[in-house]
Amino acid sequence: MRVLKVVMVLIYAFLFAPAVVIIGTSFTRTGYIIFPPRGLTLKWFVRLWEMKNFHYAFFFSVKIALITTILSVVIGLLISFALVRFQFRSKAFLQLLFLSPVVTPPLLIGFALLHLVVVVLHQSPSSFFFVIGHLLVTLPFSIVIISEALRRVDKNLEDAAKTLGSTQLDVLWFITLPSIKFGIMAAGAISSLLSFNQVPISLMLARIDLHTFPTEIFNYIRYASDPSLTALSTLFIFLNLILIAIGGFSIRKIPWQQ
Amino acid sequence: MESRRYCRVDSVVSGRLLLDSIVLILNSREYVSGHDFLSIGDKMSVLDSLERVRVKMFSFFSRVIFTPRAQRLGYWYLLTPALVIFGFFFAFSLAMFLKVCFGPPVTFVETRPLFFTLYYFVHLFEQPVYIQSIVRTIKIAFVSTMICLGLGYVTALFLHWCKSRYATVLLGLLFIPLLLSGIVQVYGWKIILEEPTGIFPRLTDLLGLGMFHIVNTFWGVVVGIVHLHLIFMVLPLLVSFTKVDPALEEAAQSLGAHPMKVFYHVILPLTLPGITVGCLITFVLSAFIVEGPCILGGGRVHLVPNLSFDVIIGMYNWAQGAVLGVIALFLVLLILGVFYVIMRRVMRRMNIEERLL
Repeated sequence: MRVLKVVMVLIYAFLFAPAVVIIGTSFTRTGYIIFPPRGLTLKWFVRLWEMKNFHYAFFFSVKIALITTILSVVIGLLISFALVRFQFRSKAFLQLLFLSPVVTPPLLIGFALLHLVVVVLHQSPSSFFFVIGHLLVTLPFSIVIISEALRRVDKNLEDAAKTLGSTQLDVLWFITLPSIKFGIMAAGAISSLLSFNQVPISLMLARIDLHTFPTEIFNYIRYASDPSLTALSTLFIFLNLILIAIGGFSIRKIPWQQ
Repeated sequence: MESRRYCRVDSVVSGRLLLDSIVLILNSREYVSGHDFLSIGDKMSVLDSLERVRVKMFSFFSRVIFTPRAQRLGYWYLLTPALVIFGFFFAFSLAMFLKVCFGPPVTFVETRPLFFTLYYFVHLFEQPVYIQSIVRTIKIAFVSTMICLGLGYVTALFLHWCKSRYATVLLGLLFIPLLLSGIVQVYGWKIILEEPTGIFPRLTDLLGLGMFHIVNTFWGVVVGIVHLHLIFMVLPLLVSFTKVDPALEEAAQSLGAHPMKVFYHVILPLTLPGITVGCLITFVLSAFIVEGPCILGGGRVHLVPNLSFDVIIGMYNWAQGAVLGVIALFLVLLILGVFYVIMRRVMRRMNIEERLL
């Protein structure tokens, strides 16, 4: 057991090493990347104000993530209601279709989408297609989470409300939706995380003037490397941690089957 | 459970956020002006009329939306946006994408366009670069799956045996590397492994082993892949560990079996379903990860994801990149299918319930 504990400490160190190194190096006083940092300074964070292309990419990414999250939750709700509350013949097939983007390599999804947009539809990739591409990645997760929460809703409560004279909309608004609100929150948090961190599809759809935040970082890493980039990555990590905290909090509130 | 139910009913009764806020506004105006703005009876009548309006609106929309027809066939309305997204932008686009693979070569001049050729498939097998990259991709996926299996099994075993109340916290911590941006973490690995300044080569240099050259090689990519995909191995294993009856372990131990023997004859066979699922997921993900080879490979390790990306975006040879991706996907699925069949046969021979998750 003691050996196991030592191995576990090493595994956790392995898992958290890159994040710690990124955060550490962003405070270095030297002009090159080094860990442990030499001296402490915030000048690399100040330098970020001058990198305008990252500002545009950041706001574009936020826009895409927001739209994707809202659509992912709304469409995920609709699909979950259809899959949980209705019985129909092609249900198993549809479930398979809705979950298949998870196992399809995102690079292939991205390229298929690019081909569809450029060759079949004769368009140039716009933010609409970015949202569609991200939705294909986020929707399976939000469907699984929301339909799991929806299955746990107490049917008796809804029937009681109906016998007491509530309309269907009353039941939906005052009972069903409040009961699955943590499922909705978790789906939203995970969708925004996945959309915000999505690389392959965004890389495929990227235009010269339309880059998301991670692809901009990706392009920068391939050609240059200085501590302002690690400062940027540090901010990105903290942003992600906030979303993870929201998602983790709400996922724990869903009454999962024991 | 009972208390939760009462809470829910209570929230139904008091779920009048709008009305409560109106009461708040009315009260605050009274407080500011110093005299009664409305009497209690007036307030109640205002609230009552608002509530009546809400009830009327809800019953009206309820009648409009939840018609008997909608209650029978409502799933068609609910599924329309999803069918558009998944049908057109996923299934149809992948079908069109497959069509590209069988298309005629771009430079091919022909009065009658060919609709079905195997030009790109033949070309793929003529170029050793593509074949080597496919072989290397399968090799890297295999190696990183094996390492993930080793590390993941230890982690799952620890979390299974850990009786501390921090076990859930430790499990939660495993998710954080997955959910942080993959690109940022791979970049962190590059900083750690990069040669003169990175912490890892300096450490090996201090130990007298010389500077380890890992970044921009096969093993550098393996490090990044294992780091990003460890959780996908741990989760299925943990699920299968929870299905192992603790009485079996105790029985074997009380009959005098050595702990290693208990592990080998009891725990390992019972977690075979978890091992199967974990290996399937990790193998697919490892074969098609973009961040690893693009950043940790540094353009020296040609794997299918980065090579097909370069062929498509860099060389603008769409069909060749598509064919490369499709062939690799086909081979990976073939390997996984064979693996799954073998594992199922093994599990059936051992009388293990082979329910996957």
